[in-house]
Amino acid sequence: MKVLLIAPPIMDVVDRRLRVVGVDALRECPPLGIYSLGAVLERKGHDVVIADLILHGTRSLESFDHDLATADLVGIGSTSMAWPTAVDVIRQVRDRRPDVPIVCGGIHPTLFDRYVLATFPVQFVVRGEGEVALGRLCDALEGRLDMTEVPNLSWTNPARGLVRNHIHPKLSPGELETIPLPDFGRLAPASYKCLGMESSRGCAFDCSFCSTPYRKTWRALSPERTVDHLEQLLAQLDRTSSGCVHIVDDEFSMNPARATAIARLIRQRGLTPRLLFDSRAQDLLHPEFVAGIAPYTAGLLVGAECGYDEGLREVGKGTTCETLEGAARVLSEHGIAARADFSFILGLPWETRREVEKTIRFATHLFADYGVHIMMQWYRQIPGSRIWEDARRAQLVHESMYDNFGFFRDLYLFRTSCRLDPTEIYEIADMTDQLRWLSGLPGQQRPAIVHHFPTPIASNFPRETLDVEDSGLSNLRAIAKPSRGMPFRLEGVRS
Amino acid sequence: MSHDEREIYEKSIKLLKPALERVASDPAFRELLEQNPLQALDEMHVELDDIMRAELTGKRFSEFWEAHRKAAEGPVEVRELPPEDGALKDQQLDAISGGVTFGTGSLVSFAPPYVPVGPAPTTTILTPRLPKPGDFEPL
Repeated sequence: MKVLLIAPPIMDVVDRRLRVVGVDALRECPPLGIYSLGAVLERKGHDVVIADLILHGTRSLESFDHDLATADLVGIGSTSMAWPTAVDVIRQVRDRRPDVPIVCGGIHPTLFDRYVLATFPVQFVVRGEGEVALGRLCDALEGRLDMTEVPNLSWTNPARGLVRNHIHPKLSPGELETIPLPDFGRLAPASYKCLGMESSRGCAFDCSFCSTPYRKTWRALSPERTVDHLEQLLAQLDRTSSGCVHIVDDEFSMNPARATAIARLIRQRGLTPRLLFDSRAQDLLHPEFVAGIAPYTAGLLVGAECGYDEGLREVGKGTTCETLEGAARVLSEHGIAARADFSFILGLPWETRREVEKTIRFATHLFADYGVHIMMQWYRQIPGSRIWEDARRAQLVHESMYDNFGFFRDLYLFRTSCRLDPTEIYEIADMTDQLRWLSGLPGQQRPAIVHHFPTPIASNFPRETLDVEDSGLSNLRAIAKPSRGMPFRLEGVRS
Repeated sequence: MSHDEREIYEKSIKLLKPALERVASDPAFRELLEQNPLQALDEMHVELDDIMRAELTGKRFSEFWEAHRKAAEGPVEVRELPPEDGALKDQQLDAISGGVTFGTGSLVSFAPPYVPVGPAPTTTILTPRLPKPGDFEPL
């Protein structure tokens, strides 16, 4: 069976043109899910073509016309951010191939299978892991299996309406180890900044803002198998522009002993990878882990989130400011503080200006005392989190709001979560501008403090015209009833 | 980054620490830094080189920063699309917008989301009398 797997990029209208934006503009690393599924299907003997539209920087399927014309199944994987492009891709497929079955997967269709099947001309949605489901869907389409036996599948049965098949047990760690690695050697040199690999799946926590799947569960490859995979990737590093391997796990060091063992194996085998990964602050308090991984760390992201303990409790990350500070100290002691980004969220739904300023003060303290880098981003309503679910229950947000391009500019979505008014946000930005400038004085290559001003506010509340007294109504009042004592008289009006 | 370079970098940050903490906690200091950045930094014993002093002289911080913001943030990267070489028409945008669309009103052009890419280019923001660190290992 010929399967065309499509990875649509995150896009938005910029300067009246639709362009690839965000992380997909950077081509950070290949969309691992689609490439892995391709490898799984190839192992089963299928003919697979991957339309990596992120790599090509386009929404257009034109370059894949022949493959589309001859495909027996089209698969589209999408996040919520890339969903508007996926919608466009669905329409392109349908225009050219009204007959071909389309299956959607990835986090967004998983969250909203009913909506996707009811709204768009697709036949199937795979919820959750696709490694087993997609192969069995091919079997079913070839008549070797009943559609009801395809796990994780949502589909529309003319007689019964929406059908949600059973969910296959999550892949065990042993099964995760047997997933074939994609052959990135087929990519052109320097296609992506990094190559991606998975050493574990899921996260033991359930943070309120987080939208990743498989929370409260964590499955990991063994250290040996992880380093085997790493070795295979290192042989393909000429496909990258940075020579780095991005471990795409939600939390690479969820088990610090395992992560330490991985570092030890890397050393024993004489490998010299340059790794990018995410770690939780608690895990960095294990000095053996940090000491072991430091020589191979090109960059790490620590999701710090808040700079005050009450906020951290609301988030549910099981961390405190003391822990965050301890982690920054350990990184500094091992000489890799400047390779660490501590990421903070501003404008969480419970936050007033007071809490936002607390976070900024704490973040500044971490930079000033330990030299870790700081990223500050305003909270955005991304489906799948507990916060988003609360907003949907209150009928403030809905999945249909993610069909159109413009997420990054959407004022309504921004204000359904952020309680600060535009004036306050501008004043916060004044503070962060000063911090950004000061933190750049030592002249390091990349910004030490980063703050992204929210585009919805910049676009809809231009600062120059933000004076609440200088409104349209005050102008109407002025022309209707000129104030007394004006130095002129209106003709025909008695004083 | 070598050990020496790291040491220099850490010393630089230590010198700046009092000013950073005042900005993060003291609105009056922020206002002073806005109105008279040179005076504010002099009070915190942050020494700037002559070029930087000249650039800041007579300027409010926000004026100075506006001119330097872009360099400090690095380029904002959006990728061009190969198929079209001109702006999309409103009808084209509507056709690809997906889901329910209301009307065909023209779409306003907005600033792109900030996407700093990699190291910011070398800037003239300053070469202070602070010790100059070496480069980080490039990512």
